[in-house]
Amino acid sequence: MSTLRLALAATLLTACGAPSLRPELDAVNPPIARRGLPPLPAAPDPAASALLAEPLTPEAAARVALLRHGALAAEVAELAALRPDRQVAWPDPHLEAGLSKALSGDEAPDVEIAVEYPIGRAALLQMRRSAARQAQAAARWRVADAALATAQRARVALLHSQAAEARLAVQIEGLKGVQAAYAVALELRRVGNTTALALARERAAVAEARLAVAQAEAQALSAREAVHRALGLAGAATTWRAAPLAGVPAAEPGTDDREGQAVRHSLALQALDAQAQAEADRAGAAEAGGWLDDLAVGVRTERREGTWELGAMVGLALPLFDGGRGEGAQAEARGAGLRLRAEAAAVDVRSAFRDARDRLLSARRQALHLRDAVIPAREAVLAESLRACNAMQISVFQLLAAQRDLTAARGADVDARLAMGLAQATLHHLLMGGAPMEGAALPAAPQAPAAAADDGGHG
Amino acid sequence: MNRRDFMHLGALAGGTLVAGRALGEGLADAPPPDPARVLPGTGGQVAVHTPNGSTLPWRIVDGVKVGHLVAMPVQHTFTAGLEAEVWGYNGQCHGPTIEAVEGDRVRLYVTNRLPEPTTVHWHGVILPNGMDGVAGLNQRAIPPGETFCYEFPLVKPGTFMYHPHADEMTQMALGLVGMFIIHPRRPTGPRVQRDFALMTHEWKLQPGARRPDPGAMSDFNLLTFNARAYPGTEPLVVRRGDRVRLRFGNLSAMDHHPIHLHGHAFELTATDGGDVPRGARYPETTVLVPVGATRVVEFIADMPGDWAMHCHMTHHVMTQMGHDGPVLIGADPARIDPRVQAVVPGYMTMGHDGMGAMGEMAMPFPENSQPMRASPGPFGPIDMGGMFTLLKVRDAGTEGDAWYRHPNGTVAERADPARLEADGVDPDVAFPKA
Ligand SMILES: [Cu+2]
Repeated sequence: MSTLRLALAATLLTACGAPSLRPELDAVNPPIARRGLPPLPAAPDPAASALLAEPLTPEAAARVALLRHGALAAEVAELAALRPDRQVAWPDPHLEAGLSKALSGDEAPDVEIAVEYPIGRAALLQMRRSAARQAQAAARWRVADAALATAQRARVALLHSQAAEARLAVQIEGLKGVQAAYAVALELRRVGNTTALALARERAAVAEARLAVAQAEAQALSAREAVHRALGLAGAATTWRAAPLAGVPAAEPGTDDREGQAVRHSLALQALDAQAQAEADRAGAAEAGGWLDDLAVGVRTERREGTWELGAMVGLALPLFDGGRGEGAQAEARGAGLRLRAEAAAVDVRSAFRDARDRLLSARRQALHLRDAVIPAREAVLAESLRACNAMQISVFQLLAAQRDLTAARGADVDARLAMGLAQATLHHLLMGGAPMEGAALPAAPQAPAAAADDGGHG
Repeated sequence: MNRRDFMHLGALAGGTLVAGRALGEGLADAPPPDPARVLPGTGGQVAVHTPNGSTLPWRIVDGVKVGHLVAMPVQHTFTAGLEAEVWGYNGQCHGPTIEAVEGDRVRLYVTNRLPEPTTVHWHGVILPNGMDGVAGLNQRAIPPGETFCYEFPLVKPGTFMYHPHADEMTQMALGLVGMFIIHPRRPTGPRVQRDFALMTHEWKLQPGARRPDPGAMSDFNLLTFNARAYPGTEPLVVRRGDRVRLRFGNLSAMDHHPIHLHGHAFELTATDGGDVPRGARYPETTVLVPVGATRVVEFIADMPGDWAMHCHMTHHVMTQMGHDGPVLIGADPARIDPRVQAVVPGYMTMGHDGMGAMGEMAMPFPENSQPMRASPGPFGPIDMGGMFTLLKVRDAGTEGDAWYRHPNGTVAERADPARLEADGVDPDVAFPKA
């Protein structure tokens, strides 16, 4: 029995599963495609594997997520439940038949057959389907919005993963620096040239740098797992490599006011509009339903005492007390709430846009300053320190301190480029019509590079 | 001195200036022979030669020797590859040697082209109080742009100096010093054939910087004879058998300098206080020249060769030596360099075998610096710099040779094994505590 059921279910799924989502995909994909993202696939798309074979960039991660993410596919599947014909169907006629016979006597039994049809509900069908279509449209906008959110979460996760790997490299470089200082101190101690105190200081610095590397490793692993969740990756698909964190783009981001574009493109606002329209339609239907819902016509035939009779009937409810007014008022209240939500959401979008734009401008300037001023300056300090060390004007420990300062600047550079990447992705996401994502775009707390605070002095 | 004398002196002084500059650029090549010039009217005394320097020219006006000193900023070369913005007189650092004769009356104009007031104090010269040059005490300071006149008779012969007595620390630290030689009208004692004036000085010039730090008090890293660091010092070339006089002056900020001469012994014959009585003189090979004093020594250069003469404070024969690094002697670079090079490519441990080879290493140094640089000598690099020069005692005809030609068998060389054995010397001899 249960085997049969499973087989049946499997047959049904095979038969109706993928093809039956075509209308949903056809509705959801155009707005996604218009935003430069790949259409959601009907079945897992091998294109994702090709993307995963290359070093992964945030944009490639976004595409992979759309092609692979299980939760997104589930949302599409659930859309099928909202098809108007599945929500609102033609009412079925009502058939009533009766047979009665007196317990005494030989009279033929009386027969009573009545057919009744709720023509009021049939008349309301188009109104109710219209409301269901609006609700369906709202759900489709929400799924498209969810697709943008999935893409953005993928970008953000990958950026954090790229940054975590870059930070790990910085920490390892920092560790090498303090290990070098320790090697010098160890050798000087071996030949009697320095104190146990000086050696202990260098050893402590190495121990702390090791801890910093371990923490950076844990963060890199965790950030990688977050990518798997954001992209829906498992098994063999988890062997991807991240591309290096991008540098500063050559062009200054536009500072022109494109808040309007973000609002116009907002899928969440479209969904709210559609939902509000659905509620308006529902209110209308409910109002009409007060009169029409119980309107039914029927015919009735009856054989009583051997004689057939034919009759007709009309039935309706008098909308004195309920009249669908409560339902209509509910829909109107929900509609009013949705319109207010839309206004608030537009305010959020505009603010999130300005915030992302400002953060992008600031992060880009900081990243440029690090690239063009801080790091070259620290490199010059290191180069001149090497000259001064060659001239025995400074110690090798001071030379290594200059190297650690350069490493610290490179750590700050990673943070700045991450902040820039996040702001850039957020700005792009909003301009494409994505919804502001609480917290997702906030940069992680900057990591202190290994031993950056060390004064580099030699005790 | 008549007009012809003046012309002769002036031309020669100018010539010396040019020659001194040119010589200072090069290595320690011996200059062409320069027979000591005899000063007229002084009983045959030779003129003082100031290596790397010059002598102030006089104009004789109504029997008065008129000279002109201009205190001014100067671009100076301590040795090839090491230049600096210093202060000097008449476009040079240190100032020209003032040379006159007991009984002369001198009129010295001093023009101030410095950015701050200055004066000139005639150190050790006996003169009227108002000519002594202490700003505020004996005169008002010479403001920038003005020219003051000092005039006094030279009543006492000797070896003296001159320097500012206004913002003394800064102005002397930046090089504003010079020698002031007054020959006796009637010399006593044996005549000298060569007479040299050498000022010792100390500076702090960070490798890569171009201006000495006048605020330095203890960490001087550049030590000079006549504002030159070896190999930029002009050697003292004398003929074998010459009686030689060396006049040292010291206006360093903080340090006395024990100047040691190789190959000879000398006697201290005078200070800026006057002659040392003949009976009080005793032989020495090192003379301590205190700050703010002159010391005059004489000897007969009877040992041919190229002899070192230097301050015996070992840090004073190191140019731009750093003192902040860890001790590296004995360390094994193989245990250090790979680790450091992993983060700083190009790093190389130095000084682990001692500092001697430092000077020959070809590696990038700060611009405009000569840290512990060695210079080529006839047998290999000479790793001394700073307050170091050469006394070249030569036979006639060999004064122009770059380096002394040693007679066969008079240079230390690797020991002959047969000789070692014959002498019972075992290079592998063991010692209990080795
Ligand atoms: Cu000295």
